[in-house]
Amino acid sequence: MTNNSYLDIYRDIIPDYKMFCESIKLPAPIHIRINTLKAEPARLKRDMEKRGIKLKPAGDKKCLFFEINDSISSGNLPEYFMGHIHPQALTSCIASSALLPQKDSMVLDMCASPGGKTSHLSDIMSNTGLVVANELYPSRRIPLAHTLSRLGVINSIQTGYQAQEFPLKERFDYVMADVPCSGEGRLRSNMNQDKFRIIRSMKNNKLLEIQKKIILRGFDLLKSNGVMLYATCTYNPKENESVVQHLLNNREAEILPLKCDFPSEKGLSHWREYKYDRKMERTARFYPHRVNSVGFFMARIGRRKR
Amino acid sequence: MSTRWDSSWPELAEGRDRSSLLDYIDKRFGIHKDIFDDYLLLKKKGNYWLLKSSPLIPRVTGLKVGIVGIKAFQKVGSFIKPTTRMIQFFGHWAESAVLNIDREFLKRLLNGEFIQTDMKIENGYVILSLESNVLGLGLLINGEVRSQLPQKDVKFLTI
Repeated sequence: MTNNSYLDIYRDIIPDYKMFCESIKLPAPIHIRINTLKAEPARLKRDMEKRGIKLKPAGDKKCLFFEINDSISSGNLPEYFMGHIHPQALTSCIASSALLPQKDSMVLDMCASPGGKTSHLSDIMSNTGLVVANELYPSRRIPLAHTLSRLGVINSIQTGYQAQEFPLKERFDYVMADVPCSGEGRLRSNMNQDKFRIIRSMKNNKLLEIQKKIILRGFDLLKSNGVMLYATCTYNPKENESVVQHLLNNREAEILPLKCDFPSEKGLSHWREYKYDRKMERTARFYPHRVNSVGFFMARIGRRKR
Repeated sequence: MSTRWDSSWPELAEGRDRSSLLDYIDKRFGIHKDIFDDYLLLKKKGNYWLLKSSPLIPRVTGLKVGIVGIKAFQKVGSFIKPTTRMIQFFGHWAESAVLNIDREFLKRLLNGEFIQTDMKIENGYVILSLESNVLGLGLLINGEVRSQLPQKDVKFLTI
């Protein structure tokens, strides 16, 4: 049993469940991403280490993600103020790398705040092309705007539509759909997650309905050769595989292979009474005892070839 | 066919509007005007934004927008001031009015001190550079410099 015993419903789907339970009792490490729009990684690393700030590589091939000592408040470092670094959960960093937008492409981030993934997308694209950062809630647009301007994201515009009703005026090369979710993956001892909110959301079908509407709209906004990344920070298959299955049932969609530098588990082929498409194994589940960060789910999606 | 712009967009700042701001940046900081050739300058209510130019922009001008690019200049009283974020982004191109400071100097600036410098330039904004990294702006008046860094962002800075 975990302290969060309601997670025990996932006992059969999370491998090494005992280790998983141990991992979520530990605080999540603090990770930072180096923002190459404003900083030169080797020099930044050297300057920070000269001041005694140890940067432990997190294991990505480009060597831009690092773990730092949790006694350091990264948000108070001059490097943060200058936009050279961004504190971001490692699994959240993986999402933009998994979408991997090409330079000069047109990108939509449907639920963009607080802007970690959006700014990472712009960084990958070297500030070329165009990124539309959409965020419905005005209060969440403030941290979004702050993040993007601090990190020197100058190829983006910010909009405030309901993600599931984003206008179908234009089609995008890439769509990031990091949807509102129950947030179970963020249950670590140092994260201030409201467990009751999570339990309420798990019982609340409204959230599932919104997720299904967002994934359909995200897909409809893709160009014929476009790619969408559907992501949540939850373990709940009803918010993950079931939502992707809903898309497969309603659109000519295909699950694409997802490459990443970090260990993940394949998506589920079934859960309880639910049966999923055999290609669901191309989706990825990230668990804190495998990647020392928050739990995540990701599916890379394109249009089915005829 | 002309581009349809949603009314939420700031308007394009062109001609003299654009050149007067970029002339100032060029003259004061030696940041050449042509560096901004790849950027659109847009304005609304006395504030200006810079957005990377792209052939994709006409495809999204029908969207209702909040913010475009980064705020580059803002109205302060009757003056137009370059923003910290714009200077942080373009400041490394500067060839003049750059004050290299160390951490001790920065601490004093953030404590609200006016610090004597030997800069032989006209009164006005200077770029504060910490160990060759652009921090933002200071204001030079009669040989003394004071911080123009946004208070709320630097209040708890660990130097």
